[in-house]
Amino acid sequence: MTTAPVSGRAGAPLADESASTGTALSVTLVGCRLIAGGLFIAAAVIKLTDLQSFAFSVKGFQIFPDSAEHLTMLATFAFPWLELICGAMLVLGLWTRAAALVTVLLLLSFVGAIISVIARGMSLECGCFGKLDFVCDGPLGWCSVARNLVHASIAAVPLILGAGRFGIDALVGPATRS
Amino acid sequence: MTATARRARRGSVLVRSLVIIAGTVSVALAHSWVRQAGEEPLTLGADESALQQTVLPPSEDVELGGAGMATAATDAGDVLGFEITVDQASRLYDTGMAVFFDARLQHEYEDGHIDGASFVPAEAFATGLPMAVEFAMPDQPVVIYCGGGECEASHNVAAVLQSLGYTRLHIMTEGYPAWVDMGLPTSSGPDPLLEGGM
Repeated sequence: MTTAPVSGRAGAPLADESASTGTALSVTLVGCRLIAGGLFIAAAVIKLTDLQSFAFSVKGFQIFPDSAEHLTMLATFAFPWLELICGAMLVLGLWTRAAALVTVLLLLSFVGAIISVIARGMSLECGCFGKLDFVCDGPLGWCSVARNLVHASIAAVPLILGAGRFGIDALVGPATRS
Repeated sequence: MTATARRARRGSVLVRSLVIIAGTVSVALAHSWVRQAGEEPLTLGADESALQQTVLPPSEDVELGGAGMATAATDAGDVLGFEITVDQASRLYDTGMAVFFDARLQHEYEDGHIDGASFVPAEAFATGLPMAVEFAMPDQPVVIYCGGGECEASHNVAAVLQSLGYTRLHIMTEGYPAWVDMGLPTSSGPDPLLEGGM
């Protein structure tokens, strides 16, 4: 991979080739941020508009014991808000690496939960996008695992490379780029 | 970038990640407090103590017939609680006084369901009252089933129905497979009450 600067630093002259490579990389980064963040925002809005169904979905995973309903409730409210806030930060390019890190960790936790459902032989729907079948339809399966891993891979790009030139992080300066 | 600068950036990313998580949990807690104090608090299950029981009529009042009815020899005045067996469900089925709701996945319903049961998963309530529920009276016995075992779907539907004012709710805990094993009436195909499916 090129070592061309991802973010143009004030006062640092860039060769034409490096500049075009940096621009191309920044555009790619914007694409990754929009896809990863946009999917999270869509999923969050769908969940927040029908929290009752999502509460049942969380309960259906049976990750928490029946005696810990408060944890199920906390997860019901926290997951959509995490998705919404991280999604918005990724799209805006604000604290991009940090938002991408939370996004990747969240998606990996979803992957772990889905694999545990598959391992236990349970048949339930994802609830990830409400009633919308995004890529995968039917009960939870390896398709959902793959979808989450692809989503996590896309979010890992800005985690590694930052927001690029087109984001709030680039506007506020290198000192705050994370 | 020097090693020190890289370490500093990693530290900054971690701190900001923790700030995002802490801030989000705070927002979620505030949201849950508002929601749970409002008119439509979230529920994770039906309150069994607030439900009414259903009394099965004596066996002579039950219209017997069909496969599997050998198990329908009833005890007079049998009282049904929240969770019922397939045998109790079949006796209630024979009286014709109950409605049956299938809470499983749509393809599972279409592959086979209790004859006359409607497809009513918990998610169906997100866009309004399912037609099958509209047809049921609030004090009418409702038998809800899913796949049995660790299946939670029927409990979820019961919770929603209770919040809507339905008072005689029964979960057929052994689920649809046990109904099939007993040779009780089944049918397949989409729910005729669902225009175009969910």
